[in-house]
Amino acid sequence: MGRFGTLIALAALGWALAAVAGPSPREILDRADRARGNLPGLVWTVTLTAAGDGEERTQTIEVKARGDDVLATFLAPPRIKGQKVLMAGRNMWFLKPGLSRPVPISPRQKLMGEAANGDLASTNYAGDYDGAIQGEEAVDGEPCYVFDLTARTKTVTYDRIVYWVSKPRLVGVKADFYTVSGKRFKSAEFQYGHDIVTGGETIPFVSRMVIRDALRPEAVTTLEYAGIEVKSLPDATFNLNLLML
Amino acid sequence: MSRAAAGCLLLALLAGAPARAGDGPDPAAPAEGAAGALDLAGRGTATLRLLGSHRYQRPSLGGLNPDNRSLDLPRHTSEAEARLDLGLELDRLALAAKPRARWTRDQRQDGPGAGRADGDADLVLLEGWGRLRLGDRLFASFGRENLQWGPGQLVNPANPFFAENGRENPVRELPGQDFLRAVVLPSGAWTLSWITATGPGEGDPAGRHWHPSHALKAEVVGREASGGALVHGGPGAQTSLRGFGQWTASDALLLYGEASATRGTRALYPVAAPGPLGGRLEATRRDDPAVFVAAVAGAVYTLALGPTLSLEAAWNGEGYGQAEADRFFDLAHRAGALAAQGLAGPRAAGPPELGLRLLRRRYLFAQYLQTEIADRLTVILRWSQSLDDRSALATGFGEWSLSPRWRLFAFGGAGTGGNRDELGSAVRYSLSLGLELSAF
Repeated sequence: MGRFGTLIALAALGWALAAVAGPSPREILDRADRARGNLPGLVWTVTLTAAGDGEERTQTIEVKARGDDVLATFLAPPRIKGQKVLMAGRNMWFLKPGLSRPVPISPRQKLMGEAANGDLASTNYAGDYDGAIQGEEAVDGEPCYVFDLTARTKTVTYDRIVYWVSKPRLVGVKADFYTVSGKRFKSAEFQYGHDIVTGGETIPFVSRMVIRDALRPEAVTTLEYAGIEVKSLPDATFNLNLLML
Repeated sequence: MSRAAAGCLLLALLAGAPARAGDGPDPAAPAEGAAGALDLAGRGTATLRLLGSHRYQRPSLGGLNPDNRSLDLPRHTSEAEARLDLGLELDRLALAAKPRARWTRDQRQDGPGAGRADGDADLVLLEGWGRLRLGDRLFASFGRENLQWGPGQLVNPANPFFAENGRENPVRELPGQDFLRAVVLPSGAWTLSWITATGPGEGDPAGRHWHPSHALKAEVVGREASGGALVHGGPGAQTSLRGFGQWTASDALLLYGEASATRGTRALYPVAAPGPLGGRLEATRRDDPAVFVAAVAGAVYTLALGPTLSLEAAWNGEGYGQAEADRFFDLAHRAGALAAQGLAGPRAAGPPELGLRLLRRRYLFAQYLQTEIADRLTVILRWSQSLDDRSALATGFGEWSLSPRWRLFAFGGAGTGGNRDELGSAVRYSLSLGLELSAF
């Protein structure tokens, strides 16, 4: 085999090894992020239900997301209708009819029940966290990669996340969220009952997220996703100067 | 915008704006804003809130307001208000209107007006504007808007158009002013705005303190920080440079600042003058070559348990020094003495407009905010402290969600200042209690 032939053989071997080895951890996280909203343009409606102390409360929010940018508009109940949360990168503002101006808020501020403002945002674990696959474990009988993720910056909502990503579907199915001190304070489970078409490819999309408080197991917040629509969203949608209140 | 034009806008909105709640996104629309002009489904919003409240306040009856003869303040005020918000977004056109119907009844217990009750009913257009999309990145709007910006909580020196930011009392709405505005988006990160103030709006209908002016504003939004700078001026305003910025330092910590620098000021200062008061208020520094700086710096931290704490320091370079404050209160006390002798009546137009956002120069501000207490209670406690005269103002706001449509709210405030101090010298304390129904 000549020198050129050797190069072709090595390249073919490398491609075959890559195919056998499967996606890299970063690619896995990237795929899992896409199934939770990290796409060029999406609109969906999320219904939050907070249960605890024998009582249930519900909010309905329309979410427009484009990568890191998110505009959340509260649709119900009537008491909070018209309120908005705008996220541009890690900058966040709260806008309320009657309140004269946008109020800067932090990702940690509470939305409802166990959900923080940051939980509304599309997920970008591949970009926001460092980490590697720590092992494999089955969740409800489904084989999963187990990621141990550490925040790259202090501006993300959670300092550390243990994240179970389904091996066959490449979607996140479970997550445990930890404080800086290493204490688990929240956990979440995800279901993917939607399919969306993006870039000519059909991918699963999150349909349900259940957040549980680690210290108060009875405190459960459920986010139900509906009306998923892939849509081109212009810059004006996420511009503070052009929001209608 | 004239009242007639505002009325036409309102009628157009009422005729064509279906409610938004329950309408899903239009699946046929390939891109936002690309639907036909006649396709109104899902593009209109309408909300109606009905509020009723009662306020009790205890006026300070010292030398500034002897026997309530200077300020003629009521003890009891009952208010009812209907707040209708309408919006419509078509292909290239966006319209918004916020008409308000108010009924107020004051009852006095102090001074010559004791026992008197006055009622007032009013219909105002708080905001009403139209915006045209002239291209993907160019927008032009005209109408009445409440244009607020800047992260400061006590005051917003970066905003030349509005002296108040409405944050002290979350129930009270600020009226808009009339603006012509062009907004350009050179990129997703940058925004350029040209703003011309064309009318005083409902906040100052007589236009006594309003002047036409212009501003050119540039803003940028990064991944963790955002900010802006502007130049403001016009025939009725000193030219000023202003800026603001905020940084999300962590998921819990926000740092921010605002500043303005103006050569000369139109604020009024006390000067000696012949006459019964022995002085008057004059814009003595209008042509002063000195640069007057106002600045705010603050931090907001959200604890893991939920509460959000804010601390802010403010410097008001236009504010009164000790000698000016002494002269000002001497003047005010002499005016009060004349009122006590029956030689001057209560000011129909309220206290004099000094052109100052804060009377003195150095302030501290702290706030405690907690939402979702027991899943239904929001509490805001604020403390404003003048470091110059040591007076302070404490305010508290509570909001209790009774049901998806009903909320109960309470607002109270108390000042510590005496009759030669800024905070608390006019009203000793006040308490409001109210109920809001979100009809749709």
